[in-house]
Amino acid sequence: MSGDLRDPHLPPYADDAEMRRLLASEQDAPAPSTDIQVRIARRMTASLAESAPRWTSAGKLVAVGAVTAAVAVTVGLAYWGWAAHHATPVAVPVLASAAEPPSNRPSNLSVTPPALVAQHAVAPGAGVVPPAESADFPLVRVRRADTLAAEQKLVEAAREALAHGEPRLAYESLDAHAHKFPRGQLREERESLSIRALLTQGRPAQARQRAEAFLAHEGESLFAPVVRSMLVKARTAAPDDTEREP
Amino acid sequence: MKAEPNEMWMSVPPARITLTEAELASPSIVYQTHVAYVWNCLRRLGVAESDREDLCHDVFMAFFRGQASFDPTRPLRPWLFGIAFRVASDHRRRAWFRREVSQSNDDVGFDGPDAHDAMAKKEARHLVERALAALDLNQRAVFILHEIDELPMPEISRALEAPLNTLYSRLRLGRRKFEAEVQRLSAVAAAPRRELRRAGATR
Repeated sequence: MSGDLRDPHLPPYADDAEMRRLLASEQDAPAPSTDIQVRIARRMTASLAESAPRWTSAGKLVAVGAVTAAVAVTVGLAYWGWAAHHATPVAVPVLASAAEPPSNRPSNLSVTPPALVAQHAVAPGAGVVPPAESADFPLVRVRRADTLAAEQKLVEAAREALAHGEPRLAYESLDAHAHKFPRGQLREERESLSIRALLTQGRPAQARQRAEAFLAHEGESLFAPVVRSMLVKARTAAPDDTEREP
Repeated sequence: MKAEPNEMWMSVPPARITLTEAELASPSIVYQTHVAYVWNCLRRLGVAESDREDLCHDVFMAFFRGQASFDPTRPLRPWLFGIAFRVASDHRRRAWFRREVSQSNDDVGFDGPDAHDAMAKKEARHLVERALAALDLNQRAVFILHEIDELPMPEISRALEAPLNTLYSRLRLGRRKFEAEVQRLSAVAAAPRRELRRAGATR
């Protein structure tokens, strides 16, 4: 963490140096293997997709799948790097799908809703999965991952720009994303970042408009909490509807 | 060489430990930056490796579903630990919980110049894990957060939603038990070596 914040009033251990050595070894504990990380990401994809039908529209279902796909593809790309390093065949599990149960535990999460699959199939620029591969096992190879990776690159660039107080640069990346992937899998994240960029630029009225529009359509989105918190800020800064910009 | 506190998260660059509000909205970033932490929390809380994958998934899902109640101005790790603690507690209460000391499965290759250091750390982690098993779950939670994660007690009180005095009491008991267990386990491990030396001396 950010320095030792332990209580200085606690008595030392009898062999304090040895105990500190032992406890410090825990702070170096390794991450789970890449295989495990990929499996967990796949299962989160399946779980979130499974919970989506309780929501109110097919669009939200697609959005949840898209967001969780980002989790899986990013871990999948990490797996690529690992696999390449270990000279093993490259096969990246990107999305949990109908063919594989997400867990050995009793569960009803094993089916990816058709709407999610359909969205991926029509996503602009998305690669076509060879039928045999998609039917046998949920492995999606280079082009699908390329599309998601390209989306993520633009979204990441926008986030970085915002982190450095550069909303204009963020807009450029977000515009590029909107142009290339109008119905892209990270479009909810794009909208959330756009609202943040507007707030950062000191345009609360526009931020408020977009946040309200987003929440009207995507109120159950995973991004809804953060958009709501931005809406509160926007309303504080631009409380009167008449102040809205054209 | 002893790592500085900020260098201790192996898979996460220090700058990524604290996430911005925008980053918190991205499940992929939250997952990537904290999966190692959650995984190791569950291990320290005594969740066997065979169950850890399931519970790690459950912790993140609980976070994503309840994210609206998370205050983004607060550090994320204590919050995640609080969830992991509750998930691990529920897991223990279930009838099918298998009481076993989990085994570390550190996929670390012990080659190269740091091999000895890596092996020593793995052995130390194994000892810590076994000693932690002597603490009950409540003591273990506050012990981990204070002694390993080095969090201040008020932060721990918020994460575990428990009164400060109660937590101090658990911490004191936990420290005593942990220290005694480390001494006991070290003595047990040293016994065969002593016997070997004694046998060598009488030969």
